[in-house]
Amino acid sequence: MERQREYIHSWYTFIITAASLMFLLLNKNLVTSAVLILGVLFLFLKNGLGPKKLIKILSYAFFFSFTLFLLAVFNPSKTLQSGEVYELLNMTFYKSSVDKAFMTMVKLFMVSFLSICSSSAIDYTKVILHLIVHKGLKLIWGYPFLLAINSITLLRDEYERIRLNAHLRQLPFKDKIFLFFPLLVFAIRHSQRGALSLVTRGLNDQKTFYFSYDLTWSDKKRFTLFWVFYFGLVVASQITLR
Amino acid sequence: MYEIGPFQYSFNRSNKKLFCKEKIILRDGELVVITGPSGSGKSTLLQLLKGIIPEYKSGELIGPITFNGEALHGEGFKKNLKDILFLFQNPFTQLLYQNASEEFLFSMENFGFSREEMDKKREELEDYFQLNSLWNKKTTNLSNGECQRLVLASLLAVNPSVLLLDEPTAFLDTQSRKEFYEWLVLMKGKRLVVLIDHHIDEILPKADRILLVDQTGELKESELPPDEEVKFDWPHLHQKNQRISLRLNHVFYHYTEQQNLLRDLNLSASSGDIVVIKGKNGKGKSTLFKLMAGLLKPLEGEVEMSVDGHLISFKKMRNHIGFVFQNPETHFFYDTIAQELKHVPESDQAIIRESFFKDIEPGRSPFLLSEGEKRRLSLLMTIYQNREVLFFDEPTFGQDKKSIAMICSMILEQKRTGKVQFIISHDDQFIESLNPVIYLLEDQTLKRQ
Repeated sequence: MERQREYIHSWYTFIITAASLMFLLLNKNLVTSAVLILGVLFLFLKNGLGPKKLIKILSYAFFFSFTLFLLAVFNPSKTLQSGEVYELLNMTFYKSSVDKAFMTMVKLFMVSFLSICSSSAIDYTKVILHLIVHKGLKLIWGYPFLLAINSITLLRDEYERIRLNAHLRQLPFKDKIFLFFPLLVFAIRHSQRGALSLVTRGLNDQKTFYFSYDLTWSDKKRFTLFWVFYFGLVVASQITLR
Repeated sequence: MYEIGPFQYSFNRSNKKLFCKEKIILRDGELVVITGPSGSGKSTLLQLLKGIIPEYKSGELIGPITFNGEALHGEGFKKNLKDILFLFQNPFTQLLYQNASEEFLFSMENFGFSREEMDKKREELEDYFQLNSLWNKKTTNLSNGECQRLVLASLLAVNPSVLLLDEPTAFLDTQSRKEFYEWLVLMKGKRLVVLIDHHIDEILPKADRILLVDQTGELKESELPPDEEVKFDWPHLHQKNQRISLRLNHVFYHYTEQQNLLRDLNLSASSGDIVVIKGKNGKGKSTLFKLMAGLLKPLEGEVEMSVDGHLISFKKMRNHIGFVFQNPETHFFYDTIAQELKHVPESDQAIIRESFFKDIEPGRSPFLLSEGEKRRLSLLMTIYQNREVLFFDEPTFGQDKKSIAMICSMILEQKRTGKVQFIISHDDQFIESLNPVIYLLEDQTLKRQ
């Protein structure tokens, strides 16, 4: 029995995502940020992110960041309401506020895009099991996390069923407000039963593991290459800003 | 060896009791079937035998229940972790992983099996439980039957000396159920198996002992459960005049492009028809239901519904549909049973409560009912919405003979009022009593039988 191989281990992908998000938040050079995104995106695509999903995420991230761009442009802070102005449809926009809003939009777009993409490229079960097997994460912490992560899909499906059922029953609007109630009950009961299942199926400290969840030589090689690329971008970004 | 009672267990926040007046002994190697009406406390008894109660659930237990001379809670619970294994009624509640192979290995990993031992066990159980097709599936995409097979195989791999099984065949198709019963016969003499099962006629000839939990909660040895003639007359429902029909024209559907699930499906049903969809676990029966109910849109082909000869739009189809989901809890929105049943006309309230929820407070939360009671409540709620097209996904799950007779009568009354009803069920006796049109979902397509 073999576990599906990843281009780069999820634990490394997790670290790469965290480091990249840090870079995107702190870096002021949009070109180096864009290059980093392309590099990380390559890894994500290799790790299972599908093109259809990528397009979907692009549109979500764009919609989210563009909404905030509009908010910032229409409601500029007082300090930005001076200098050069643009006139459009009888409305006045300050250049400084548009520039600031644009920068914020691009940054937000990059951060949200990368973080949503990561959810399709990282196998969190593997991350947690790697931490349990190799980094000493206690079973008592690791398995409840695992249960919680794996219940996200179940919760999503259950919410969909509850929503559909509310629609089929034609519940009055005031009752639909409480749609979260059965979902909450489901979540609580699922966690109770899951915890009971861990106990009744015999989870204990002497547990062995069939799969090793360890890092291969090629994982390490790719991870090292990423850091070379990453620090190259850090240096490039510092030089160009001077 | 179990020594049970005399004991009394009082349920938390309820007047209900489970008790036993005389000592009952369950010996190694026996096949013991627990039977009794739905909601009488059979699942609770299994939890007492595992030690989950009182170790993890509240309520008061007075009197001894011991395994090999030791109590089942405290140190006894830890000591018996590997020896006594428990399969929950709803197998999805036992899933921990997204990957089916990891899920299968979990129990063996917990008890320190080596990689070689795990491979050997996998080979042993793979064919028996048809696990080959599951290894590459995500556990969240498994059907109920597949999930049940996977968890059951995972438990058996550990080779426990006692197996406590709460309705292990509830979601299995007929063939898998028969194979499972054959396997139980093979297990006789090797380990104690205690199971709750409503396919009484099939399992009784194979059982060594029968325990009955009656309506009052009394546990006793029973030679044979009383095979009473069950008859039930559903209250007459308002006659509907609308003529309705549902038609599937060359419907194709799949979740991923790599896996064709359903292709070229054709089906037609109209007012008064009862259509049963049969097929093996995981073949797409529930997906087919969603397509027919307008909850999923076909990738190719059409699902057409017409009311009084007028074709209605796909979006409006939902206004004519009642759907009983596999998980009854999905149906509940309100705090009490009475609130959930507010659509039931005053004239029917008394007979419904007497027949379906005897001795149950209408002010009780629906979430606190037994699995069988929850299922009955979800059925009633859907029936009284007065929709013309009804879908039932495993309506007899967790039901005793009497309840099945009531459900059967209910469905036949719906037929009389001109409703179109679609049913997924693996209960052959129940299907036979409805005299329906049967379609078999096989090789990704529908064949009328």
